Amino acid sequence: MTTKQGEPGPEVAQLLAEAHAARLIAREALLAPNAASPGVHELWAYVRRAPGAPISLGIERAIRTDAATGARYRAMLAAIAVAHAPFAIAAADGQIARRRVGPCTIEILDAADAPSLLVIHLNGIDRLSTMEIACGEERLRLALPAPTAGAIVLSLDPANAEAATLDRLARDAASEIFLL
Amino acid sequence: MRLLFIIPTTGGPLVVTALRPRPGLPVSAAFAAGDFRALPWSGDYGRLCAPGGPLSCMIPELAPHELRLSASFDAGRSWEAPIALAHLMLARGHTCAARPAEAEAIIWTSGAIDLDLAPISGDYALSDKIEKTAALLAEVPETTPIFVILPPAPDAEAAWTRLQAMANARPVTRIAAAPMAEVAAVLLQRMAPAAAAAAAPAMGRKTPRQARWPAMAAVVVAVAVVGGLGTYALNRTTPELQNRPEPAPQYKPVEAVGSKIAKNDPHDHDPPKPAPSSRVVISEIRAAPGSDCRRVLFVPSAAVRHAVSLLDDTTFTPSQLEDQLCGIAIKPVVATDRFTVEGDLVAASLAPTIGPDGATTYLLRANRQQNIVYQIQVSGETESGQPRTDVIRHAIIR
Repeated sequence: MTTKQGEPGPEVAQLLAEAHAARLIAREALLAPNAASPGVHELWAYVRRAPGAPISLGIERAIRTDAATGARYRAMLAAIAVAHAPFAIAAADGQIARRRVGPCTIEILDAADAPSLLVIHLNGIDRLSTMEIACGEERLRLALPAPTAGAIVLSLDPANAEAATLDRLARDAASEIFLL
Repeated sequence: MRLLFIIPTTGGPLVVTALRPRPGLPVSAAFAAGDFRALPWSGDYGRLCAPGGPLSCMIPELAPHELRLSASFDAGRSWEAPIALAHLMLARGHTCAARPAEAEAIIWTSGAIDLDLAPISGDYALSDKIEKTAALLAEVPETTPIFVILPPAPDAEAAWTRLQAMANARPVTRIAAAPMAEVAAVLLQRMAPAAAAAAAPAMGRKTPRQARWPAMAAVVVAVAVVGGLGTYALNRTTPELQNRPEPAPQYKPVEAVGSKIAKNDPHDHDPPKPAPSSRVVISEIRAAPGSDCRRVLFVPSAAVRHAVSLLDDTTFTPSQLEDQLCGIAIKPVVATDRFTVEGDLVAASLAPTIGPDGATTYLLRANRQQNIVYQIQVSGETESGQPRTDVIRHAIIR
């Protein structure tokens, strides 16, 4: 094989061939996004996981990046939830102190010299075990303590990372709340 | 006054870092540092403070509170006595200190309480808890007084001996186990001399704590005012007050405190008149609504107690001899004091018994017709170790 003056050499041709093959593989992956999606049984098990259980990075990525998986996850979660609210209704601005989630009411009590408290009024519901709150790609799942006098009280202590996240998300009217 | 309330556990002592009312909270809740969920026994705490609960009987209009502890524990009821006492003391204007160095007094107690906030006897592993408190007590400044209330327990005396040894040179005072309202009243009485001493430059302190003086004066004045009002109201014997067995008005700053303040502060031209205080607490035992004295004889829980107010240091207000009055309970304020009863009471009552709270109970016989006049001879030691005997008078008249 002879090469003319100015044509690329065999090494360059090899590199171009490899780059072309890599582009094809990448394009196929983009054309079939569901190929890496979790199955229904995997997603169902993930929806029912206990708070604090190890999370699956693959499923989390799928929920966040794949709209169909995300919608399926939320539908499953809403199906088993005692109460669910996709967003706060009639919030005057971004910051809210009280919102309804199904039959329950969530209220934030602020104080000048103490951490805020988040109160979940159960309004007749016997017991809640878990709360999941999400806004955008941020998602938090918490185990709830036993209620006292029809209410569950959580301390939004800024010194605690989970509590600080909960504080921020609970005040956001765009947050989606599931009570299980 | 900033008070450090210790909650001893077998895993080590905890302290109450904050206790504050939270308007809007549906029920009182307890939290530990570092955890955003309420503690496992927060429900029990909520019931203790709930309207109609044991504490609300002593503190009317008790709002839901947020209780914060330095750490968590899972089970047991030993937290009840210190938390109830903390509520009672804070209701009288004191505040919580989070660290021993900040505290002006340390309060150490443990044990479960009943509906009258009286300690329930049991095995609370007091010796073990006191051993575990050693490190915390070592941080306490030497001048800070330590008040100890030990519940009726098998190892209470051994624990007290050990605590005295552990306290080293620190002033330690033991207050007899009693319903927490009575303990709070005694604490107020005992803390007032310490407060006055701390505020008095003439007492020989190198660094007189002037900053404390306004707070101390406020406590003395407030207690005296409350005492005056309480005595007035008790003398009127309104039914409303009988339903609130709050004995606080009977125990006011002792006379010595008032005189110290008057002598040591030349600017104080109108010192508060010291309210009377006695060396014993006398309570009327009355049948609870819907019960009678015969039932009280067999079921002590069918009785309610109302503290008898003082006329002066050695005379109590006469009680009314009526069908609902089942007996008298007498208890020394200082645990080490001893007393004997002379007069009509011994013959007019059944053999005295000592209850779980340490009070000696005299249940009156059924067919009492005569007035009962009796004296209580109390003997013990003063704070300086001198023997002291007082005769206290009380009458039950028609």
